[in-house]
Amino acid sequence: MTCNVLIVDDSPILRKAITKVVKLAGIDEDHIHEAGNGQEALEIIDMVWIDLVLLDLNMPVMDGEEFAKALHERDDMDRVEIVIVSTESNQDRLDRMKQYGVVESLRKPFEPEDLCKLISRTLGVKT
Amino acid sequence: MNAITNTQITDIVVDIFERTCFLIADEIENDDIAHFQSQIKWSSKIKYSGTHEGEIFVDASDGFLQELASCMLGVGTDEVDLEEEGVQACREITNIIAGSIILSIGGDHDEYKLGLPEKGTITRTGIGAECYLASSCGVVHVHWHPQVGEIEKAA
Repeated sequence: MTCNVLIVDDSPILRKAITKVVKLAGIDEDHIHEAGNGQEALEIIDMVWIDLVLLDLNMPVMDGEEFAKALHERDDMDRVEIVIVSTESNQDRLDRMKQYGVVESLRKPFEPEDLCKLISRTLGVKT
Repeated sequence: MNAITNTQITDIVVDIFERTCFLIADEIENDDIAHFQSQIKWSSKIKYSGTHEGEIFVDASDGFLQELASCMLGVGTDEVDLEEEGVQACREITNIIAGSIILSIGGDHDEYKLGLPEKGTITRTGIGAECYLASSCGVVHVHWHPQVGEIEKAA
């Protein structure tokens, strides 16, 4: 699969763990990008076309909701699929984020298999 | 707010370890807790606010953090840098445990906000709920403390 995936999470160890799952879903390592917060993620998106963002919400500098809103306001960025991977359980907040292009959410803790299936499903629909 | 019992917090934490990284941990008998407490060297905490506020602490031994990080990364325990990856694993698991605890106390429509995980303090008052678990490599203590102010007075 030649899609580009961006993992946005302030925990370096979780980014490494998620990277392993993304590779299991068939994405080459060269197509997996990482950011520690929303601001870093926007900088990467300025340089690389991203198909799927796996987004944590609770982060320093720029949190996931601010990032999704900022991305949604950019021209042509509504083609980027956003999946929330977070401890967030507040359904009202998750529903609110759908207006910013969030297509699915997966609450931590998750089983690696669930994330793998979600990635395949989201990118499969896209391609 | 729903209060959480020691049994509930044990079930939450055991489930998180198994689902997140296939780490199996069992509850420590009360008589053995004092023995294991001396092994605990690391602590991470996270604050939550909203309808109510409080803190969640995760304290662990060297061996437990090494095992946790190795399970999360899929590498051998001897490949884990305890100061870096062990601490990262402790903070991330604190974040995940806190997310599940605030879901239990507030449900999925209460507006709770989690802070960011940070270094914790091991000594504190005993209110709230807690559990001690042992894995094959070490011990972990998880403590839900429902009132922030009490902790700060005790520290």
